[in-house]
Amino acid sequence: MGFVRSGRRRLYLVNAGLRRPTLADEAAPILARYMILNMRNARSPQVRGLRVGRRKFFYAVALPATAAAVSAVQSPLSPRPRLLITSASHPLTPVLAQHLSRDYQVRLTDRESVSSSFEFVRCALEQDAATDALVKGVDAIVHVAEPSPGDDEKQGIEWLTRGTYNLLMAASRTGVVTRAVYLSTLDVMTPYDPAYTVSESWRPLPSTDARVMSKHLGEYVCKEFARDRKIRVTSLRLGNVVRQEQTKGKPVDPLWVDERDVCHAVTQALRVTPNDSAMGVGSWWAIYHIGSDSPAARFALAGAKNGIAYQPQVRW
Amino acid sequence: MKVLVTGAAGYLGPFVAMALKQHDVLLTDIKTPSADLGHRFQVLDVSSLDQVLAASKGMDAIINCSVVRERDKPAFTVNVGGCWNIMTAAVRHGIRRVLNTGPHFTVTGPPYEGFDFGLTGDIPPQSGTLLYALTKSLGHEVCRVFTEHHDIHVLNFLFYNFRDLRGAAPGSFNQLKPGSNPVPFVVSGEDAGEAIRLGLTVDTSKLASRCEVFLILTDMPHGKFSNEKAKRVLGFKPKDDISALWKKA
Repeated sequence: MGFVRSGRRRLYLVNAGLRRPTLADEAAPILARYMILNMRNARSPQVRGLRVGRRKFFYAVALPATAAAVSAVQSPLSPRPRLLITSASHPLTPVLAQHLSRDYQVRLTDRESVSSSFEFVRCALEQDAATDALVKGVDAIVHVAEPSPGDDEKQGIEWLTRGTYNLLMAASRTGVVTRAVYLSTLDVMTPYDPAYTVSESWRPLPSTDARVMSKHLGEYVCKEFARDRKIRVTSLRLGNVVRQEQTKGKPVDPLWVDERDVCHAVTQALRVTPNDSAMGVGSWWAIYHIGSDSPAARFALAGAKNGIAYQPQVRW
Repeated sequence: MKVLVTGAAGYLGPFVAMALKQHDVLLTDIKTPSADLGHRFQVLDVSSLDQVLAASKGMDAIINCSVVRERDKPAFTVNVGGCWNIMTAAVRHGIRRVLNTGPHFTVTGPPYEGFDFGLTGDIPPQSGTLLYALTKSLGHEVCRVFTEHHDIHVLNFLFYNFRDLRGAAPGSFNQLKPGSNPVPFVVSGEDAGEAIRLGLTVDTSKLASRCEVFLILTDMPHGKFSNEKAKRVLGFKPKDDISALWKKA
């Protein structure tokens, strides 16, 4: 059994296992977690006074007390939850993956193969074993819900309706996937007079533009799954996602939202359980408008600020 | 009136064909009907925009009876994609009347049906997640959104169970079995066809909006679903007496 103690300069890993493992600095955090987990699970005492079984040996290995190793010691015992993020080919997805990987083990997916440093599973989101396998072991889903490059408008609609349906149906069958975040668009609200203080309680007004319609229909599918109590879904209606540095010199778009703030919103949506509301949907369904907090911003953010503690940082 | 009917080889097709005998009708379906329905027929896949565009050119109205109930991909390409294609064609060809058919749970799904009475077509759709229900509801939503942006009227006719008083094979589901107490939403095939005929000719200026939903059922004492709007707005008068269904033998 193992024991980990962090000194000022050294991290001591004592392995009382059957084999003498080879340790590298970068393996220290992994081993530390493993040993702590085993120690806790076996309810073994600390190494001082550890009674060693006859078939086991122990030794002490001193490693530099790197930040990673210390962090591993100090981290919660439970492994990071697994998060599935769809539409890996979309530019926003790798940004989300990088941000969310701090707290999650990220798995990406798309219909076509995408090169990524994260785990990637190619899946067409059909009603089949491949989709079941895609969601197996996953705790939550971020459904970026973007058609693949080259999709025509019908394919886009089919992807966001049928793909969303099959994804959520497979996820709900696991009994483990508890939460999905769906990335919709504020374009479903832009037909309102800009002088109105439109919020999430206003009816969406999608156009017949295929992209907007498909996002709206995907949200429709999510809502029925939430209504059926099959899976908790939060829909984030995003403005026009940009990176602030790339907007220099351009006229300010009231719908701009920085991708870093989008990452923050998704993090919050995954973390915060919506409160019960007068609408009676409780924690199963929520919609939040995600934009910037700029003076020229089109939509108010009170819903997201109150509901998921959304605090955008980037302004124009 | 020149009318395109999709899904004509399905259950409703013969009744629609019979009800529209005074109109110039082109019947279409992906498969050929088993009998001559008294109008021109051509094969058409409603999930193909090109085919729908070609067939609807010159038409005054489109009646969508196409449906896929249980297969994943076709349920979406037909029930959702078919509506997209039909509405796109209606916009392109200036067709201002579309009749869309569907099951009752396009709107009155389990969250309503399992709990409430007095259900009409004027309630917000709650289809649930059954494939057939949700895909038809998505198709309905596609139609609705198009009517928000184009001068097209969509009349949605929702059905649940049918009884065929004249042609049902013995022992078939659609046969009238006295005292069988079916779901409280039944209509004869002939009355269903007649409702659709009324939808073709109703004065659209009298409709409350460009997207209206009608529950098409006979007069039933159960109080679960209401055909009042169909009677008031369309002048629907169910003729076939199927009350034997809920009368004790």
